[in-house]
Amino acid sequence: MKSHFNDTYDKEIEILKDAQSILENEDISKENLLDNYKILIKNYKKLLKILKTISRIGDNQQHRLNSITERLGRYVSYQLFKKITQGKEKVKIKTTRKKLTVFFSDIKDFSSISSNSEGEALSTFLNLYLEEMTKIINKWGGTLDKYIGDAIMVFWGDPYFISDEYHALRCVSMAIEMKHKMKDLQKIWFEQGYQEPLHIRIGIATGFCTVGNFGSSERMDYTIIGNAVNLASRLESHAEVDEIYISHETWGLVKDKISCAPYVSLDIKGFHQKQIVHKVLGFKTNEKSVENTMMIDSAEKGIKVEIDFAKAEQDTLQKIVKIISKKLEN
Amino acid sequence: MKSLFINKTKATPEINFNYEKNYLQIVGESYPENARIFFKDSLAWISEYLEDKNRNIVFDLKITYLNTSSSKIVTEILEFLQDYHNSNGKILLNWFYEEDDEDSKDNGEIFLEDHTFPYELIPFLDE
Repeated sequence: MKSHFNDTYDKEIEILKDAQSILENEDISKENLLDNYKILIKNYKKLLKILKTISRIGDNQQHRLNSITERLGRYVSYQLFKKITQGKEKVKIKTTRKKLTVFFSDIKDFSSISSNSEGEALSTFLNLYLEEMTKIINKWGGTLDKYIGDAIMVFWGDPYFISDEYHALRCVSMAIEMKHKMKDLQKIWFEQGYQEPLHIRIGIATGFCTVGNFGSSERMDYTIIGNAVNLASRLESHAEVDEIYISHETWGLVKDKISCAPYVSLDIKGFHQKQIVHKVLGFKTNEKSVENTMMIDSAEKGIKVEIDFAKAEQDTLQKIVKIISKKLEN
Repeated sequence: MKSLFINKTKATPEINFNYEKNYLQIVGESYPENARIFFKDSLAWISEYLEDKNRNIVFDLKITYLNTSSSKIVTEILEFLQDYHNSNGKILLNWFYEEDDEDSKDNGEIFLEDHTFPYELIPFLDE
């Protein structure tokens, strides 16, 4: 690289050498010295101009590169984007085995809805749905594997691994928030004139998967394969509308914080044995889903509360406290 | 003096210096490992060619990407053109930038802002 640099600036290096040799020459006349000094000044000005231009071009190229990188980043998960741009991800066909928690969701009967809708309306509708769901995925730190039409596939545990419990809880918490978000979206769509409310189904499973780059040396996909992927996908198909089905292994990791309905054993395609499946009811009493949110979903005790402290006004919260205090006094 | 033509490669632009027509053109991306070596013949050609101040030259520059050492060479070419213009030589430089790409246009403006020879910034659609 050094020799290339010397080649690029060969003229300037030559001028400096000449100036140096003149200085070392004791017999040089004042006139000659002044002439050479003028040449040096002239070239210095030229060099400064080149430096200014190249610096600005360099900054401009960097800006261009950043905006290209940012655009490309929208085609991969945030976590993978970060890993690649930090130079930590080697772009080669390589996979590893890891325990992951995998999430699948889809909109029930979306195919029949899409066949009866105009393309533009459908894309507006689908993009709003995916936009809102993706915000929730990013909030909970999931690695968004892909959108498959209206279906979403997300996983936890790679590229960053924390703990199995952490991943499973983040995943289920995300699913609960998505379920609540769907209610907001259903209102919006109803206002927009969609007669039939749209519903999602969610399946979650935990287990060992093969994760990494699959494909060819020219085109590869960072994704996962394994039993947990198949199970999460199957659970999603089995799930009732607007419900979350989790595998027994996921349940084992979140059971202290998430309440579920009594389990059922289901025959699931692709699995020889019946699979124990849990339907998520919500966070257990007093469990905080996020720092800014309080959710209590304990139907058997007659309590169902959801407060978003980021949105709720102080007055409203005080009124709720007063009502509860009065009830307690009675 | 003969015309100079160098084929385009993945990392170097096409050089088309037509002596008879007084038409010079550099088209493509420029990120050779050593820009000084790649442009050596072109710079020597331009230097000799511009010694005759009675030409009426059209120079098309359509470089879609260039690395830092190529940028240095471009500044040198522009200096040659400026000196030619200062000696009353006739020249028109067409600097092509990618349409809808502000950074590409900015590059052209940055390269040309200190020069006084006639030039035009022309948008083109990259295929």
